[in-house]
Amino acid sequence: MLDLLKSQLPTLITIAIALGAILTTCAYLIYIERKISAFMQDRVGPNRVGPLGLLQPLADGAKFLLKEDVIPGHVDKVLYLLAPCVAVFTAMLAFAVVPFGPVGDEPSWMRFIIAPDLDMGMVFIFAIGSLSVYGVVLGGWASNNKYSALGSLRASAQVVSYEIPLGMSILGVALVSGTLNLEQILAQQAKGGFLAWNVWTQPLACLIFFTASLAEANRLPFDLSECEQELVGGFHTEYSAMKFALFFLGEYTHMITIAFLMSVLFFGGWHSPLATAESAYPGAWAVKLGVLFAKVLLVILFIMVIRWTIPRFRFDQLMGLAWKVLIPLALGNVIALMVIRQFGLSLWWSTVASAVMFCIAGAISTNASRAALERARSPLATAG
Amino acid sequence: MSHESIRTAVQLILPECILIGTVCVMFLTGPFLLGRNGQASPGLRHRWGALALLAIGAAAWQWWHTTPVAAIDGPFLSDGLSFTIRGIVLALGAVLVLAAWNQLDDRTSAECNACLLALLAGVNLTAAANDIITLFLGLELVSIPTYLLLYLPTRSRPAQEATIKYFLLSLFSSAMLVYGLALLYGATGTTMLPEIVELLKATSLTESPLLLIAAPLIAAGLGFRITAVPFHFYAPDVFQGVPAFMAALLSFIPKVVGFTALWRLTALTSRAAAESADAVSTYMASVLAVLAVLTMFIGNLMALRQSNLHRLLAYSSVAHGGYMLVGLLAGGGSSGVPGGAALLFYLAAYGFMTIGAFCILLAARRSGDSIRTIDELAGLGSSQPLAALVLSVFLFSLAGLPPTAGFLGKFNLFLAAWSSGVSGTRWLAVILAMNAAISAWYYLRLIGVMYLQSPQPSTADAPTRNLPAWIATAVCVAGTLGLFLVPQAVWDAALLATQ
Amino acid sequence: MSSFAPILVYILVLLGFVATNLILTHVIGPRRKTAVKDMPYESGMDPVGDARQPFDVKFYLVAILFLVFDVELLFLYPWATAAYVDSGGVPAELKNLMFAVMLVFMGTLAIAYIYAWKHGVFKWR
Repeated sequence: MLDLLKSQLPTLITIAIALGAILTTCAYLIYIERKISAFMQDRVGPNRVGPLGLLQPLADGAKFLLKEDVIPGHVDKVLYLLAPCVAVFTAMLAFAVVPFGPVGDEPSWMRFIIAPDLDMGMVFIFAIGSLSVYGVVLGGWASNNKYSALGSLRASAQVVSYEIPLGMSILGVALVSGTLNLEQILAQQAKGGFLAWNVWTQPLACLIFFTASLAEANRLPFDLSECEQELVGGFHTEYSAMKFALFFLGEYTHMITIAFLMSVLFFGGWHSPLATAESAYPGAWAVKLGVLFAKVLLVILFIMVIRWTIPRFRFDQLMGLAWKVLIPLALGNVIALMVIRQFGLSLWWSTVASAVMFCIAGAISTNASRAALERARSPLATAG
Repeated sequence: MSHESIRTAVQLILPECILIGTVCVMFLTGPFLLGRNGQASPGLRHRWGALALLAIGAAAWQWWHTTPVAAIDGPFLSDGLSFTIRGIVLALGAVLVLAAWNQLDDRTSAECNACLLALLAGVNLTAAANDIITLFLGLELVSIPTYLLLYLPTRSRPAQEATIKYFLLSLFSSAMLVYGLALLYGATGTTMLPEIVELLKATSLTESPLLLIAAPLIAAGLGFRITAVPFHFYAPDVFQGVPAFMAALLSFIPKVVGFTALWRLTALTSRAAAESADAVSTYMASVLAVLAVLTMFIGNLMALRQSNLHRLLAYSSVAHGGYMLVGLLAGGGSSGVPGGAALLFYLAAYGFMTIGAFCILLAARRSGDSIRTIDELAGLGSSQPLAALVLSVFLFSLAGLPPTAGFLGKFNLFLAAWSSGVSGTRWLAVILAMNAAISAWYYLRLIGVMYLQSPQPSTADAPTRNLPAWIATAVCVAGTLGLFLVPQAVWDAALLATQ
Repeated sequence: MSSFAPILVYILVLLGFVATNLILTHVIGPRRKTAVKDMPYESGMDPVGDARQPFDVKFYLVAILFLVFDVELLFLYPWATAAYVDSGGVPAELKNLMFAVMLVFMGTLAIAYIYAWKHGVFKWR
């Protein structure tokens, strides 16, 4: 028993560090998001609590804990309490296989990944990630509220639809790397140098992955399940205090995971000209860590900017994007890479294929939307 | 399994590949031939029917050029049984396409024909399976298109009720079957059928108690398909609700797959094959014998009371399942007529006569989609003499009277059961003969109604023309009479399967 | 199997974290029940009817299609990781056969996809 505990000591330390970091980051991401939205809307944003409002997250946290915890009489109590737990549990569990630093360079008492050497890394993330829809569905159903029910219904359709392009876009990376283990995917890119980043050879897969992840995380422009203007709060209309915060925490953890996955899968992880796989100067690991975090932060900021730039989709557009655009493109990407690998062609052909497919998809959709626009403009012609 | 056997596996199922390829073409092009609102140009069904016949023809041509070979270690085999079953199924599949021809909507005919072909491919795959996984795959390739075929052609309430009934019960039986097969795999440690058969022969129940659960589950799952008695109760309701061609299909196709699968798992059921006195097959054979007796009696006795022709033929189909079970239980006896060959011959004969009976009901209708009640038959002998004559041939055959295939088939089954040398099958032979006598009563009563009663006034209008159904009927008449007059070729093929 | 041990530890920690949060907020926060608080929130209106109503059949269609594609994906993962690795993957003599099999596999999927599209499954009125 003691041996077992001892062997898992680095794990426990890692978990403590990771969990603490995630919680703090989430709190400050909310702050950053509010500041960015304020900046884009020409406001000031939070500025009262502490200098520049920097203590605002702490105040928010305290408020979540101290406010009344309402459990309305009309809910299904067990499922109602279970839903936020599921949401945050799955979001955080998915983080287990994400390498959040240069694995292998770290001091011996901790690791830069919670569960190392998991060969099915990406499958694990998808498996756990698809469980997260249960949080939303259970929350919406248990609330016994019409807004919640509609929100959870939309969310379930949306999440299952985007799960397919998400999973398919990874297949290309798996075909090239021959593994689904995130550490190994990262190591291969780092070994190959700057031009081996997957984003250069598979830009389309990167785009699909990013789009589908946004939808999976219910981030705007895909937040149909909780769009404030129509559904109040969507599935979390009936939630308050810490239970509400747990949903929030789940969403932001999801966003962090996405950002890490983007960096690791497509942007070479910690690899940069400053610190390559060969560089062994003291403190190299700190540089690598910094580079990885910088990339992650950039992705997160990009997601936030998108939120305040692009308007929300309509539901039919949302489903159309998944089923009519992303899935065929992802399938085409897989087939292109399969052909390239089969006949031993240069991987740069994949870039060409991506560009060609992107242009074709763009041409088709532009044409289709123009036709639709013209039909809409002349209702008399179609009526006759 | 070696690399070579994977390569050769595809060669063994070329006829099925042709069918499945056509299915893909149909599903792919079908939706594109419909208009903007899903309407079809009239007469589209002729094209799809012709394509389906063409595909069956191509598959049959391919089948004709295969020679049965001994088992190999791949997922498929091409032995005598699969050769014979393929032949029977392709021939009767073409008849079913003809029968369905004018019962299909132009809108859905692509899907319906595709489902028919997929289902035929499924039967053939079941027959060619050398592995419990491919066996289950084949069985499901039969079940799933069947659901679609039940649902697509008609939207009436009885049809929907029949669909749901069949769908749920069939799913349930598939689930039982797959549990049974999984446990069988657990008990034997292999998915290859020949190895399982060898292992089961020698294994006694005390060594492997898992079999005690696996065998009944498999028997129940397949019993649903052959409409053995405790699992037969869906048949009359479903037959009554669905169009005539679907009733014809349901009376024949599930029986073929069910008996083929039971044959492949013969070590579970045949007492003759058992090497250990305590083997699972000794128990299962007794259980199946009881089921066979019950199936024959209940099928025939219930059929006596029916006034709806579809229900009557449904119970008749139940009873025939019982007869064939007798052939299965007689097994490959060392002396006399092999039970397996008798079973196969009977399957062919039964296919022609039951499908033929439904086809003539379809072809001779005056209103509605087919003749459904006994009252509508009254006076058929004077109003449509040809139809009455043809129906009489099929009814004679179903009753087991000469000069028809049914007579030879029943006679073979009787001889096989009498001479098999397995204890207890003589009793089965006696019960079979008794049941043939009971069944003769309700079949011959129909002939009496046709020739002796005067026609009802409402049946005066001319029958609707349905050429494909008449062609199908003609083929079935030829088959029913031909199997009596020149049975040697089919009998040789059936004997080939037992070797 | 041992690579799963950290995940088990992590699961335990997370369960503890979630439970603590729920209990803390339950204990610390004030509780004042009123009749209005117990009602479903519908922007100030008194709720009419039940929230648990039957929903559009479209959602079932999406769910069924999802199942088809998701199971297909699960078949593709092992292939993708094993197909083109230098050692321990698909043997060289099977590479061409595997390629053909995968093309057929994706082809059938594409047929189903085109069929569904043409029949308007992806159209949300």
